[in-house]
Amino acid sequence: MSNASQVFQELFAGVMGMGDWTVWVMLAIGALLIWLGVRKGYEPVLLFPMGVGCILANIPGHFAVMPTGGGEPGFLTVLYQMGIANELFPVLIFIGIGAMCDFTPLLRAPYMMLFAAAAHLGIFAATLCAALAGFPFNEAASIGIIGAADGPTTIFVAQKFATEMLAPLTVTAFCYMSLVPIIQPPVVKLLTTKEERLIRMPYQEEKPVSQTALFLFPLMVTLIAGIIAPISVPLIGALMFGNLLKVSGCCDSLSNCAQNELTNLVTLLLGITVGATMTAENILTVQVLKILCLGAVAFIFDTVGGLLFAKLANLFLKKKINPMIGACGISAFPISGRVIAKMALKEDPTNFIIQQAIGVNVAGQVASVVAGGLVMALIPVLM
Amino acid sequence: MDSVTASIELLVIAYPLVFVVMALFAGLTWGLTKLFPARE
Repeated sequence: MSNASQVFQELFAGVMGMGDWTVWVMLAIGALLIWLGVRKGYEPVLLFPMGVGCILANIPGHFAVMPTGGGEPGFLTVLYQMGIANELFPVLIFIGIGAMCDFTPLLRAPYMMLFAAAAHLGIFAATLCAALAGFPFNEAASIGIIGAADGPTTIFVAQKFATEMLAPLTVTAFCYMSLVPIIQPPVVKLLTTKEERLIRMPYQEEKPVSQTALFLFPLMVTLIAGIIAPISVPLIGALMFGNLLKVSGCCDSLSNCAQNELTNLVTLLLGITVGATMTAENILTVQVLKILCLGAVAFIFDTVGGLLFAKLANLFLKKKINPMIGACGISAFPISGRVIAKMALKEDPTNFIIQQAIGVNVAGQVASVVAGGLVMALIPVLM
Repeated sequence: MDSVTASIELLVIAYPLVFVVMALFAGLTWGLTKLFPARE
């Protein structure tokens, strides 16, 4: 009889497991992520695989992750061990991002890097708010990194200092990156006057940049960032390696591979694997609600930091700059630059600041890795 | 050290340091473009 009962339980393990309400909630969250990606267009290449990973991991029995009855780990656990536990996937994605980046606008106007530095205030504001909310420092700083507006950096830092929070941090970072068009405009409007938003910035003729300077720039950034914060070498090194492939001019096939095949493949694997870490015990907690709020704090303060720095610069400049470009110094590229350029056009249909906005946005890519590297170097020291 | 104090120290140390590093990059990048100007 007991044998028959055991057979019955094993045969209908999935059906029995559906009696747990948290399974239904997690399946609904997976479906929500898929809906946000597919129907709403919020970072679909990431949210879609994450939603599928979440559903697969929460089907009772957990055969895709780690069978509850014992046995070999599922393919999602194998992928996790292979690409996230050792930080391989974020680093590979950075090679692809580097190959996609064009630093030419930055070399034309290097001062834009300062706006990008200012626009990383959100990291530190969110870290402080997280600490005030009761998170230990390593977790608070990992939450703060959402303010880098950079998914791979968030994964990299979370994996190093707050492994158990990897899933909520990754989801929050990518969701807010796709919500930049909703978050930034009201903050920009609140902190700028109409006159400031109407400031015109002269369109600079396409100043040519030499191939040598374009080639030496990534090497210089890698060396200096690596010497100042050696812990950042995997991220900055991968980013700049990808860029070197692009600017070298002799590795087009590798550059194309990094931009397309490598990025697509790793994004797919990263998405489904991170999604699979979204289990009820990781997600259905008050902490996750706090992380969602703190993510918003990070993005709002990024915008505030960039805007206020640009307004401060205007106090000393003869030729005023449109302070809205300060808000684009985050890593969400090119969405932030486009949003700000669109805002300027809305105020005055003949005011084109896209060139400057995109320049600051590109600088944000570098600043996010620098800020991430410095935070990673300081967490163990300050803990 | 408690979490709030460590966060304030992070803000005080790292935020200005991001400016310093980015300013260094800006200066060196400007130098690079002057040292290796594009041929018109």
